[in-house]
Amino acid sequence: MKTYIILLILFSSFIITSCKTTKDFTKTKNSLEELKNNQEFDCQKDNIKSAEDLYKEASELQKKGDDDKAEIKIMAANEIIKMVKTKKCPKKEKVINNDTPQEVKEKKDNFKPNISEIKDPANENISLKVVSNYNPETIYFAFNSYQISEDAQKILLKHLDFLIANPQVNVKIGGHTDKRGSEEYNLILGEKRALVVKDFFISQGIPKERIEITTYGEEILADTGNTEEAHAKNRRVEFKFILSE
Amino acid sequence: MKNILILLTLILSINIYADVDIVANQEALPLIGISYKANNLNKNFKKSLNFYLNMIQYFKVLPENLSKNIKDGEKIVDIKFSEWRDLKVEYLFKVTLKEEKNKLKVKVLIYSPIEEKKIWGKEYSDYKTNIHELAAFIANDIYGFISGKKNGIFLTKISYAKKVRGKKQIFIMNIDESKKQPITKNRAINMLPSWAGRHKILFTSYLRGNTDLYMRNLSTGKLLSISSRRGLNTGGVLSPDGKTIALTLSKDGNSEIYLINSKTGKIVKRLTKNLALDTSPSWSPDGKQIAFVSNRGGNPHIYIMNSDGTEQKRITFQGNYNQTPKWSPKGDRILFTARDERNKFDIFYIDLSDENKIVRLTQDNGNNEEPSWSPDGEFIVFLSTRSGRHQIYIMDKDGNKTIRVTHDKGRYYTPRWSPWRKK
Repeated sequence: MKTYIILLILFSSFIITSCKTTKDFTKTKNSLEELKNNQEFDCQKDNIKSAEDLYKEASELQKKGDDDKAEIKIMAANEIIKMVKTKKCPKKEKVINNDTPQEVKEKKDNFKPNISEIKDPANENISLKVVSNYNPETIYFAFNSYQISEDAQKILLKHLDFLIANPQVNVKIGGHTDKRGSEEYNLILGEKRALVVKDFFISQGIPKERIEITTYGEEILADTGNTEEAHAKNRRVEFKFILSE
Repeated sequence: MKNILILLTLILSINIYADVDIVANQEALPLIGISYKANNLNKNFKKSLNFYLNMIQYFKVLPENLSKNIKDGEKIVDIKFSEWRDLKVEYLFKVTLKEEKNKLKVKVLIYSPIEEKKIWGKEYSDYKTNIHELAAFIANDIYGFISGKKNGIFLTKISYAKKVRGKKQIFIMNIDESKKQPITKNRAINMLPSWAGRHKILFTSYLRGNTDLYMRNLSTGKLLSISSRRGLNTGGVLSPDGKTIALTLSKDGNSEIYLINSKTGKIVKRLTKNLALDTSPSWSPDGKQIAFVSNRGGNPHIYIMNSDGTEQKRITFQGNYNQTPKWSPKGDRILFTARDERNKFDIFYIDLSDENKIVRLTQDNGNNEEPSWSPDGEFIVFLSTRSGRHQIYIMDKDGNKTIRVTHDKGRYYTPRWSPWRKK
């Protein structure tokens, strides 16, 4: 009799724990779906992806019966989801593009891109056909930073307008660093700079297919000097606007 | 190098000389005098041998103009030992070079001016085209005889990157700067060489417009594409067992450290997972751990983890810009580059055997960056701006003695020391 009671207790506690975990899983899954479908969180897709990865790992672990580890993973995923939910991406400001659809169309019709061929700065065997009659103003960053400054944001909005008005034009974003620090770290820093710009364009509704990023790290310097001024000129993201094929 | 004749070898017990190894008195370095009997053709040989012997921390090669004034002769009685003693020379090397058709014959005799007798001798022969390697082979023998250590690293090589017509290319050279050979000759940027065994070099290149990882086989010349995923494929380093390559990939948007199979290039495991920048993996010699750089705490710092990605922990807490970790072949130190408060870059190491104590190796001598260990863990090759632009230098593992390797006005990048090489 005693044994039955113990077994019963064990069994019910098993049901309770598994119910709890399953409930958590469904909740996490729903939250993830919600976040993925909500454009307000587009700029945080990396975070959402990490949470999703954790969720997948947790599901795997649960299937294997490792509930403890699964729960840890699902808790971590929930933490990320909570963090993502607190930070909505900046909304597309109406002010930047208050043209009526008709005006946008006119701009598009008025603008006839001139194309010139240039060599890829990292490989002379590759040619790029870039739009030469639009000023692809460069944006600059602080040392070891990939935060978009206010000045940079203004330029990005101009480029955004241009991309919206010219759907036939794609953008190639090149991330650069100054020459201090290791080459390898500078490659990933340059990439992160390009990535935050890409995320900004995506958050403003530019399809990711129209955006390509490349990091050049410290390989292509705008200024080879050793002054702070020279370094500042090198910490940049450059734009190349290319006619889509 | 097979035809080595051992002549007249009066080897005193190596044990007696082994204690030379621990001479720490920097003021009184044992001096080496070398008296060469050679024609001008063999300038290169002399330059190489002097370079290698000078590398050894506890040696100082007497300038040749000083040695020249000292009387020397064919027979032992002709050598004016007292004059060498006056110059405080502890080892007198007598190197006789003889050219025979396409070969060079070298006889090396070591005398002790203090004991006034010959203590070692050996004869060598090799093709004239191998003069630098012959000098390195002899230096290995001399180093072995005097330090009691079996192997010297003088036959190893250094790989590096340097710009040719505006684009970085990968090169290799002997450690005395001789025999510089290009490993890439293309019109793209090539960077971050990394030895993958004795005859292979991994590097990152924009050959197809993206930063992809390639491997050049030095014996066959064959070029293999190892990883060309979207985004970064950089800084590959082969694991000590040769099975996997640790590298940085950003295929999912953010840079993370992964392990890929060294034969197939397929992903074995993702090791880091966060929104920060993670890069520059360096294996511990037993392959169980990996040191790397991460800015997950805000600034780049040195971290270590198990090679399955578990137990990631930060190990530098000073400074705000620590990079390029390089785990020592003995496993007890991790070299790294740090930027100090004056914006200068210097080389330090983390002493893993002493509570992760930080020890400085360079100071007040321009910027010093990109260190790489010799395979025996006794030397460090690095870049320094002490003479102007970034040139390659070598120092001993404690930073007591530094010698300049390259001598031009160009800018060198990322020197990487090869594994052991016999020839």
